[in-house]
Amino acid sequence: MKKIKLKDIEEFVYYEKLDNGLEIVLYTKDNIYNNYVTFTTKYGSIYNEFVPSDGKDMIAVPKGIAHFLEHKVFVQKEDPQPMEFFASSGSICNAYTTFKNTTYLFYATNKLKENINYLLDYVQDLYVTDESVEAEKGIITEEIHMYEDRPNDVLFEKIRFNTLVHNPYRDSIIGTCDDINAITKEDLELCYNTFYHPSNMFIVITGNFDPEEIMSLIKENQSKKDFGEGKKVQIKEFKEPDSVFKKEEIINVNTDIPKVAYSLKIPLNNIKLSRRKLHLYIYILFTTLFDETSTFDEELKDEGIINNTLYVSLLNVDTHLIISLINETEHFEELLEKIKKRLESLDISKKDFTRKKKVLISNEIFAFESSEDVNDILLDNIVFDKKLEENPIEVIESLYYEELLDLIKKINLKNTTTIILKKEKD
Amino acid sequence: MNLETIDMGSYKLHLIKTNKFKTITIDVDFYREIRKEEIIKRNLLKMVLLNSSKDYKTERELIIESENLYDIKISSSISRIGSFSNLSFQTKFLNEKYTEEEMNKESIIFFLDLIFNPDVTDGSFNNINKQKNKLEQNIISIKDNKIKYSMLKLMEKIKDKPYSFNTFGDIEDLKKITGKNLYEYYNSVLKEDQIDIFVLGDIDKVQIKEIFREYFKITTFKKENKNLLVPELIPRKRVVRYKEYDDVNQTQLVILCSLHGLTDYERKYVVKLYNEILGGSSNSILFENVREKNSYCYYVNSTVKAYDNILIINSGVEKENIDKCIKIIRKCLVMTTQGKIKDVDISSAKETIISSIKSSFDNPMGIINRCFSSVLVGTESDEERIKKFSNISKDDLIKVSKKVKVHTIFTLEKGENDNEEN
Repeated sequence: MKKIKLKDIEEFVYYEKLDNGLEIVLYTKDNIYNNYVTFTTKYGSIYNEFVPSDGKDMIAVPKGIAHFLEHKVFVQKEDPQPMEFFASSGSICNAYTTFKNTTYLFYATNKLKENINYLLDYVQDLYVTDESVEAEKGIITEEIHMYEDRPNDVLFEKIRFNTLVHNPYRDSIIGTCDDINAITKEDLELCYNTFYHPSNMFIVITGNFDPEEIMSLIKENQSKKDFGEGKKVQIKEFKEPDSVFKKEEIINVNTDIPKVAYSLKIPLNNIKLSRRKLHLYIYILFTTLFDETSTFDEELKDEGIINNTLYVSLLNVDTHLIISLINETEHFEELLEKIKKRLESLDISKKDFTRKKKVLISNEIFAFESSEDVNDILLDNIVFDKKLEENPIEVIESLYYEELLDLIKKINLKNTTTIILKKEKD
Repeated sequence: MNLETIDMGSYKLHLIKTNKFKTITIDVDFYREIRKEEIIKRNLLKMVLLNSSKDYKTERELIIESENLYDIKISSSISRIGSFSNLSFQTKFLNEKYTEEEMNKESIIFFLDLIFNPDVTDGSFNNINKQKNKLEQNIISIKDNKIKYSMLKLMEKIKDKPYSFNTFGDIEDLKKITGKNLYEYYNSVLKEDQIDIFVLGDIDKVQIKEIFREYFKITTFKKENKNLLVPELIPRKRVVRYKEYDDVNQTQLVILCSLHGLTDYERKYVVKLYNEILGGSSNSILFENVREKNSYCYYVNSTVKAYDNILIINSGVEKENIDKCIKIIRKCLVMTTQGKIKDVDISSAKETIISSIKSSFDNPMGIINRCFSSVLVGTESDEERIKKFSNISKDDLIKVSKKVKVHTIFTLEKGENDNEEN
């Protein structure tokens, strides 16, 4: 077990990788009550074409399986079911699926050890029947309908759909109703066997406990199970053009104030920065351009073009970075004109840059106040950066104004998509 | 952790010293009995005060300064606690141990200045139009959230009760607000509202007390009123059902239940446990029957508002399943009155509540909320509360279940936009 000191924050993280490939990350804090445990497979909605663990050839499966599996992993052959088990000690369990990972989690103030053992056991055992797969389809269909009735969710779905062409980030995590109806028990088992091997998984525990004790508990649990040799899953490669799928679309939805997104699809092949640094620079640049501290925001509010500050969303889809500027306003046409004009010449003053760095450092310390936030940060490190960040503050301190100016020269803003959601005129 | 309450005459200052956090959190609560036409003013006030001040005339200048102060977080909110409306201002900033000396004081003064030093000329707020437009947009946007919107529509049907008022207020009332009458209202809030202030963190109590004595400029004495209980609804012989139609994919179902004759003990303890068992989690009776056994929905929840004397059940379902779903929910309610509640579910729900009491101590606002609620309704110590929850019997639950009556049902369904009642 490796003990890692996070510099400047004065906190410790413990790390170990077991023989079966499972990675364990522990973070402890005295005088708190709650423990937060996440068990994650690096398998999310974007992996639909791959070589299965027991095969040699590339296959394609219906979309939405990662999320469907998340629902079915929760079902155990024998009672108690996970919900009941965790509830019996007052713990709360849940799960979620993203593009790149599926995470099973619980919060507990007591019976931490029993709960960890149970979490490992239920996630590492799949029980599905044809009947239970069919029954789940009704529930997931209702989940899809729920999202369809939320204009903001529709907007975010459309951003990816219209900016991307082949990239699997394009499709919705949950899948469409047609995708869901095509899924079979065999599909679920195949994906489970391929992606739920311990070598593709990790556990992060943040809370108040003895790290040595918890580490040996997990080791013992894993030593009793045989998962066979883990091999790296081969995923189908794709080529994503720099151009967007659709430059502009107006969608009629049931909303009283039009929503608008202006998205930039920025190629990453000429940018040689780490993912984290790139995101930090882009955050600094775009908040300075558009947030409450910008003259852009002040002018547009004075002119009555917007009432709320623009929301800046960043999505890294591996090949490209999609930056979206989002707002709701009756005057979306004027807003779009103003945005385009503002983006014609990107600039930032040294003073603004320095202030935003201070903001980032402060927020890093704010995050270490909550063990949930810490868990998220560590999880993010492993899924996206494939290693723990031992010096989170230093990463921010080593951002340089000149490097950002250099980045500004390299970023290509030519490929854009506009999406407008509004009520159909009678 | 220790709590010290200081009576400052016109307000109470509660100091909570703890070294658990790297931040200092302050919560200033202004509350009074709710009046429908004032809700909009309180909402606008919370926005106007945080948007500019005498020293920082524009939002831009203000936010730049807050970033310079190590990104001090400042927010305001309006909430309803029974028959009170609470206008709350909050700040959270890094303890000066992590920044620079004297930053604690500087941060608190910056925060209090927003409340006491607004941008005013000749007894009138300057530039309130932008905030008025923003508030109007917020009110219109509620409709994008079909769950919230449906709850609101159902509540509107229950006239005169505080929970029937839109939490943002009415757009019609908004039009009448001017810089002048808003400033008058602001002064009445400072003079007449009851005030409690909570300061939490690794603080120097003497210093904090001095800062507030000097910078929290209110000296009027207030009459104490802690009667926040909302009167019960009159039970209905026949449940009323309202249907509204709109362009939606999923039908929203909201059921309002009235609570009758709860004792103080039942209100503080038993009804909370009852709600947890009925629909408080994914291990609940409703979740089990509506979702797991019948696949009718993705979510089904119940929420109890003990001081409003109501309980609300909501779900999102296919249109053709709506009547079947209502039937199952009503069956679940009957089951509880017949004592068909598993002992294991009772003990699980108890553990969940106890766990949430404990974990609320892991975050600053969790602790402050606990302290505030004990100021308002005088709850027992946490040890005492945990003991009381643990000792609730099945008979207690059955007794409470008989005090829950379905009162009104609302559905938002796909179809042409007109409404009906039957």
